[in-house]
Amino acid sequence: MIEKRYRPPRLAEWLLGCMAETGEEFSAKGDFGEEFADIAEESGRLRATAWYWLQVLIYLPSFFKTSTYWSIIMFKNYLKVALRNLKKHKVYAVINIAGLAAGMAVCILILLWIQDEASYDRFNANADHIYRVCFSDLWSGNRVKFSSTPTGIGPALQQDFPEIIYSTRLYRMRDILVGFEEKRMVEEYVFMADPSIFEIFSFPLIKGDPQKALADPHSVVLSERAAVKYFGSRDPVGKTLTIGSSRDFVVSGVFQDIPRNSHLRFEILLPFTFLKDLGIDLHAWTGWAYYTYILLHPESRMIEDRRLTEYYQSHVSGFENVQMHLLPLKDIHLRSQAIGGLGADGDIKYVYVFSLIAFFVLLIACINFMNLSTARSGIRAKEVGMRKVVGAHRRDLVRQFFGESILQAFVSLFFAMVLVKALLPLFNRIAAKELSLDLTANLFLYLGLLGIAAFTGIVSGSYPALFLSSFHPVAVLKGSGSTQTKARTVFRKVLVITQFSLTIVMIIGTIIVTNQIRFMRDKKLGFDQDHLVVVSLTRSLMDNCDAFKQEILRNPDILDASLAQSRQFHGTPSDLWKGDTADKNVRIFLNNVDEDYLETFGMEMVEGRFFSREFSEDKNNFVLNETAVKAMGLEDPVGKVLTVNQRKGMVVGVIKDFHFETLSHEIGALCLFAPGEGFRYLFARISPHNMDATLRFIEGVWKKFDSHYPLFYQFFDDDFDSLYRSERRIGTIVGYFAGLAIFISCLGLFGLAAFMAERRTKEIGVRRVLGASSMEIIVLLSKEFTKWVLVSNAIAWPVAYFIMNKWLENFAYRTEIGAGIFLASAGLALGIALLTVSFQSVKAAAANPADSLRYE
Amino acid sequence: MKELTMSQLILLLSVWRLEDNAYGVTIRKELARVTGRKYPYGTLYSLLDQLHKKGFVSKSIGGPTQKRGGRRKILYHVTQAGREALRKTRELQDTIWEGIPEGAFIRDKKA
Repeated sequence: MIEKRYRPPRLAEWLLGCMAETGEEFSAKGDFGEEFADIAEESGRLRATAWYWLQVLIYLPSFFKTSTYWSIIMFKNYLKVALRNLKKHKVYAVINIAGLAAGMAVCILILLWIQDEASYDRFNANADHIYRVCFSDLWSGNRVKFSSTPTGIGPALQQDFPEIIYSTRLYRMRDILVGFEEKRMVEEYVFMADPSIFEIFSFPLIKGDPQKALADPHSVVLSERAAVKYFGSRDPVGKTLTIGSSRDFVVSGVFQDIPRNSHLRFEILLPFTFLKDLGIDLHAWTGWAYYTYILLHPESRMIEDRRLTEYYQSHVSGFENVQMHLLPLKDIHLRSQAIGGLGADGDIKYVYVFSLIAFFVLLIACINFMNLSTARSGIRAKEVGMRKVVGAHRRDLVRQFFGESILQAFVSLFFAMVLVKALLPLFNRIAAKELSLDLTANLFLYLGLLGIAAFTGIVSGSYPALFLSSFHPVAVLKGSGSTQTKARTVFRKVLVITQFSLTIVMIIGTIIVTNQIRFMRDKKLGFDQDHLVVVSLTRSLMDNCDAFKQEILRNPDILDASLAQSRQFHGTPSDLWKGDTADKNVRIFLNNVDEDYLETFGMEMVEGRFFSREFSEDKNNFVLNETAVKAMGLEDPVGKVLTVNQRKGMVVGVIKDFHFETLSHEIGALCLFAPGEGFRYLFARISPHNMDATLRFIEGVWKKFDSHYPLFYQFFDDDFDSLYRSERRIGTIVGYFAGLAIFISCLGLFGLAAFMAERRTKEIGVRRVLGASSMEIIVLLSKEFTKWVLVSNAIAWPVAYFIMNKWLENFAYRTEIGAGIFLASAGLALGIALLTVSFQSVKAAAANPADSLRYE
Repeated sequence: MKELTMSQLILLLSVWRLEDNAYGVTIRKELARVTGRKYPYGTLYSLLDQLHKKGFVSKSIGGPTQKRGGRRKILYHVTQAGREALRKTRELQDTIWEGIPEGAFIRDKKA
């Protein structure tokens, strides 16, 4: 045993071993050790250690000099061989590079998409410390989160929790008419906010003072875009805008246009205090219609839900189940599951799904590469044998083949970038994004690209590298040892089957997504949505809505018209109907409608009657839908007296269930109120003839009532279609990627078929000579591939079923996953595969046997 | 055949002089004695490697000692080709120095 004090520093010794010539490490280590011992004996271990380290460090330069010298020489050789191989086998090179490039392009696109999704709200300097206040409540036994709050929460929290620096309340107004001089437009993004919004979020003001801009309840702040829209090149500050119904606001500032990746997007910002003029209590503890954001002190931790809930409960009574939560700003876009969120249209699920697709597509491309290089291993076998004979270690060969695949990966990366550049406009249109392949200052993208290339190179090179380098030189050089052993062909089969399984899963996915979208569009909604025009009423029209309706009905092309407070699918106000116990509470949706509602929408009654002008006492009565009757547990509901939304009234009828919310939700309990005030929409059923004239007529009537604002109307079915925009988007993207996956798989199959046909040239020649027909040859060559595709189907079906079933669970109303879909995808995959293979097999079958047998 | 460089010459002579005990540590010590300068091992090994590749030295494996942590050493020997190279270098040097009187350096010192 060595005495401990003679034991050299381990790390240095290990380093030395790495540098010394292979096979002679012991000598160098020994030499170093011997002198180390001498020095240690003379002047102590510390000195010796220092000496040892110094020597090792001095060793480094000369080590690098010699080692890089040799590796450069070998590298040149590897490069030369790799390029020669690419040149010699052009078809394979093109297949490999095209496949890898297509796979990488998909990855890059998805990478850009994910980067954009993940970047939401991060531009805010305080992003880490901003939270949205949320509430949750028990509805029919389920805890439901919602992102709106009462007005008083923000100021109260700021006062009572020292860790909160600022709070701001927001209120969104929809379809607001804004005018300056003769310019009048309907604005989608009008918000009200407290002045502290500029302290919390990074929305820099170009003009005006952030602290004073929203101080006056009659001031307004505009985005740059909006300022240009209304005032052109004139200075907007100090000008007066008319917003809503003849209310004047003075422009006090202009803020920079809000980045696209902000979940909050507004063009026009009014002071929150203005709501007071409309008679709204700004310090209420109930009435959830406003959004509250808070900025926490950077040093303090998130406030626990329990503390918040206790705080809230100590201020209210009768809301035992209501809880208060905080949601970090950075989670709002992708992880908010609350209902009624502001622009929270992202979903982390889609990020996962897309990442998975990117991974699959790249894997398919890598498998192509692996398959082709192992199939063609015979060609390289001699080279491997030769290299081994002249002294290459297996390690060197592994390095060589990895180098080759990484080289191909980087060549492919270049083409992939070209492809992405070309496809980006299309992708942006489908995905409704503004992505760009901007390499400046996008470190993430750089790393991503390098990562993709390295991943591709390593994965696709792994099997060839390990497999080719394992050849026994004697066997391959003698030419006797077949390189096509059984294990190898099995492995190749597994790869092809994996590839096809993945492709089939994607085909099935695309079909099901498309089906579900079609299903939702065609679903019977419980009412007739054709030729239904929705007119949003302005304040002056709301006051005269009955007269407006009567005037409109004078046109014979307008078949029916009805007024209502809210419109289907755009969020309906709701209230809690109190049952005997808390778990019997029902969230009940409310709508105020006139007597013609049933008629206009073509709905049906189940029991009782609808509101009628003949009954003046209807003012206080209700009509429930079937779900409401069931949820409230009413037997024989007609004639019952209930209290809903603090109004006492009698149920006069039960209406058949219809969809008033999107199909992601089950039909909820609905209570219709008898004619009253506050109608905001007019629905008109128009005849399909002379539609243009009819619309012009409506516009003419509108002008008589409101000369100030333009008519704002929509066709009901257009509006309904737009609700499924995000689902359709996902469907299209998945469809395109599935197409690409098929393309890549086919490339691989094409290469493999070409190789197989080539290898069996002689066999085919002999068969032909012995009288086999072309058809028999084609069948012979296609049989194997058919088998593979069939096995792939068997694997893909359960996987696809499982995944798609999960996805469909997002929808309350969903299409069936029928056997037809599976059969169709199997047929499609098989058809494409056979088509690809047949190209090669026909060629092989048509070849003159004399050519292939000439040299026998 | 190429001539030996100065450092190769010194090294080769040292190995020769050490006879059967020429390995890393002893060679380095010998070099230090002759030139008065300590060679880093990196340089030493790469020089020995060059000589080995040219066939001027051969290697053999020597026995381990406890001091070396039980590791064996690689012993170097001057080959026939090595001796030939030394002889040629010597001849070349003699030719180069021919006609330069021994006293030439002494005069320089005086000046």
